[in-house]
Amino acid sequence: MNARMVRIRKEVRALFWPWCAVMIAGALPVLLPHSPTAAKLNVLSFFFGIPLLATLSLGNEFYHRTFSLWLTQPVSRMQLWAEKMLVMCAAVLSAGVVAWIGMFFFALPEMNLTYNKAAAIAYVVVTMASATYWTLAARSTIGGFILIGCIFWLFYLFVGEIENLPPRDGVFYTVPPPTTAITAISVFAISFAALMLWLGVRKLARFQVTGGSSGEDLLMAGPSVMPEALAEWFRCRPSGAFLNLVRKEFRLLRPIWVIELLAVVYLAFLAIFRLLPSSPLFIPETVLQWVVLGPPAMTCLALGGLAGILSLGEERMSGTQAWHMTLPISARRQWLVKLVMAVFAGTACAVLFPVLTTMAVGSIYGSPLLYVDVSLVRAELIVLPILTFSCFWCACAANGTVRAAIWAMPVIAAIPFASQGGAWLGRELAQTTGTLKDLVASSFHLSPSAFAAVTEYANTRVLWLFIPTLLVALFQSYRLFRTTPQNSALWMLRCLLPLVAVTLLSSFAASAGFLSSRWEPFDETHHALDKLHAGTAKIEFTGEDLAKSSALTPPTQRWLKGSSITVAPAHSSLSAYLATIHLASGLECRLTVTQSGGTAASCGN
Amino acid sequence: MNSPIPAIEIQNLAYSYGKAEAVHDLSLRVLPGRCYGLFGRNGAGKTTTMKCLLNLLRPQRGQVRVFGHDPAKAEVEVKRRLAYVPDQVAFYPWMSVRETLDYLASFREHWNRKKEEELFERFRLDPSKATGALSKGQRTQLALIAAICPETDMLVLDEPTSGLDPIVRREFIETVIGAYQEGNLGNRTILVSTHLITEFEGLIDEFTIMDQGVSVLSLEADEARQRYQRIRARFAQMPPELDFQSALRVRRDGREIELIVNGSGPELLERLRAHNPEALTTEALTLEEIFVAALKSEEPR
Repeated sequence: MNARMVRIRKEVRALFWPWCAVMIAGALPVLLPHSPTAAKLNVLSFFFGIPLLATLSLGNEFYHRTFSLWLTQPVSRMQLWAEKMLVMCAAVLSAGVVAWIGMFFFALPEMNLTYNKAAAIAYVVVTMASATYWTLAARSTIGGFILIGCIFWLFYLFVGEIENLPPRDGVFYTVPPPTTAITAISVFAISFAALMLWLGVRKLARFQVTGGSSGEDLLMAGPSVMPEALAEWFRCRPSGAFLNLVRKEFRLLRPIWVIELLAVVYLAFLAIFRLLPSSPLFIPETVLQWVVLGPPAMTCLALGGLAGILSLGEERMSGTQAWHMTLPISARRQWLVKLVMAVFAGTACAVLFPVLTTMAVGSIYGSPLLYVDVSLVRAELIVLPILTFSCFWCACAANGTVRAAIWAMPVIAAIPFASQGGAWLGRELAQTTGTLKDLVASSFHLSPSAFAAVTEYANTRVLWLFIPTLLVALFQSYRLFRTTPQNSALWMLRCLLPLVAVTLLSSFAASAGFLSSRWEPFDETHHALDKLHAGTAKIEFTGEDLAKSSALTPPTQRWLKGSSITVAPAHSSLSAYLATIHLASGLECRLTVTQSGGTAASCGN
Repeated sequence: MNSPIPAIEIQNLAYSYGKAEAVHDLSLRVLPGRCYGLFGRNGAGKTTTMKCLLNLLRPQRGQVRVFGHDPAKAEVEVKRRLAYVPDQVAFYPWMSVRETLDYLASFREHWNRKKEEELFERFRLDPSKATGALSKGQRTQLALIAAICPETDMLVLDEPTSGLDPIVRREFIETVIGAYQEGNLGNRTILVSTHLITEFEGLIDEFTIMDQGVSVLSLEADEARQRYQRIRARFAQMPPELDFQSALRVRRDGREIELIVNGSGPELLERLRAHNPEALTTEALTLEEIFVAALKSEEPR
């Protein structure tokens, strides 16, 4: 293998696992055509995975502090860059094509318009071309990723149908654009890509490695924009260790506050000009709608995740976390401060600040809840902290921000998959043996609806199923916080395994315990009585008589064991007969069978 | 009279990273007030040992005690009594030098401001400068100030002088470290891991040489100097063919013979004297020479 191939192989290896993740997420709608989760993962892989792959190639050199080493090899910068670009383009194009097909033909067939498809191709091309410039400008993967996102937003805002703003007759900006628009966008995208490529090459040729430490990272350091008076409060003091930890966390989360400020200003702008839909469940239909309305939602989601990752990820990368562990303050307290701050920042940036902003603008128009759905906000206040905590767990298990960000999606996806797997196993078991709830009700001759309230509650609030997982993850995150994570996929899988196992078990237990119950003892009793031609005169049966006449399921046989059933014709014209079941426990159940064959049942002493 | 509680006590420590064993069956004991050197080549297991002492790594086998406490159980108590300078120094790039020290001081019960000012002067550090703009050596200087000023009972220094210029390095070792120990004579302990053994020569009271995770040699510095000697003999004619198997190294150069010995000095001296050398001298090896000799003697001949 010659030297060039060795270098190319190194580039391939650096992108291989993220590429696999993006490919799998992109191909999911093809494999699972009707799964909404697969569709969401596909869209995420296209809009987040593609720029991440594009920036990762160069960003890795900053991340591992190997930029100087890379540039000082006795090969021209342009050749080194060309090798990187070759691998990066191959990775982005292959993943992009898969995600593109998955998105337009399987996940979002309603978006399958020439205009959208052309825009998506332009997106991939411009991302590849501009990755070098933005990653070098930000000196980090995440920074490059965010800058690319910002540029795309401006780009699509520019090429969208701005003339249709604001909405007319309650209808938001309408498409479809003419063919000339597609041509114009293509020409513009190619020109823009060429310009960015040229700028990237130029920047690399003139690039000076002035530090290579995180102090050079645009995202983490950046220009100081905070007013001095406010900055003074965030400055650490010689006393008050706890407050200093909090101040440090605030400062570590600086990029989140900056992005949040921009997002809130933008949201206020949309709300003031009545460009926000009144229904928060509004789903954009056109590219322009996506471009205008998509960023606040995506930013909130991204900030929720980033809040969990950023602080610990950056400390792990710079080495300050290990050094903090030697300070005379317990690791538990440090972990707790970090966790609470992350969850607070995530919830505040993703939910509270946007909601308060829209409420403030809504109150100008006389209705604070003009853009706010209280029930949705309530749900977000539960889901967003969980998202932040999940990302925090990733930061505890992984070594650095980028690694944690890359792992966040597979980790978060693994838990619902494990839950579905557990529920399926439980359902399969319950089909053959019945649920635990059925066993208890039938063995102790209880009312079949004895646990109905619990089942009803569990069915409507599925999040409680994840409580054991969250508790294990909480404990595990503390343990991982103290350790030095390994940089291998195997390590992450080993960390993830207990969570997957607990989720699988809890879902299985809930499903097999009571959620998958299909036991209908009254229906079975009714059918058995029908076979005995009951209802014509008052007659008494035992549970054993019914078992002989009809193929009752084992739980029903158990339930009716030792019982007596009195059947009498009904006096009403609607009902056929009335059966009173005297269960062995002393409980009495009344079963009314109607002329049409329907049943109504109730139990009581 | 009871012997004092050792500042550090390690018994049969073992730690592996996956299948690679970093430390194997290491035992050592450091009494309060001593300056203890941990010497070894790169990857010998010095940093892993230090990390186990600091509870940054949990020992997989064996026991670690710092001031009689298990660092995993009495975490804060142990950390309260020591300060650490890591091999790779990192600070928050947005904090100034002043803010970094204020931040670190907030965790300590005691912080010597006078000493801090003195060290600023000595190292010519600008307190208003952002740590992100400091050079590698300046960051090390800042880490050293942060470790010295709390005046803890123990300093744990992992390659503390890497990146320092020769003047600052010499000054730090001779003046700062010396002054730190003299500040509370007999009670302040230093555990230092370094490659620059010569520069710590006068400070080290006791040391352990590690190789591939194993302790090769643990000795008092003075005893080591007594045991490890260089013997030079010059003869009037070609020297006789003598058996020097007990010597660690033998070098013949014309009429001269140079031996490096470990404990067998008196016996070899007698044998050389028996052949009436023109000149016969002995001198103690430096710690660095002892380090090299000890590791060379471990290598297969």
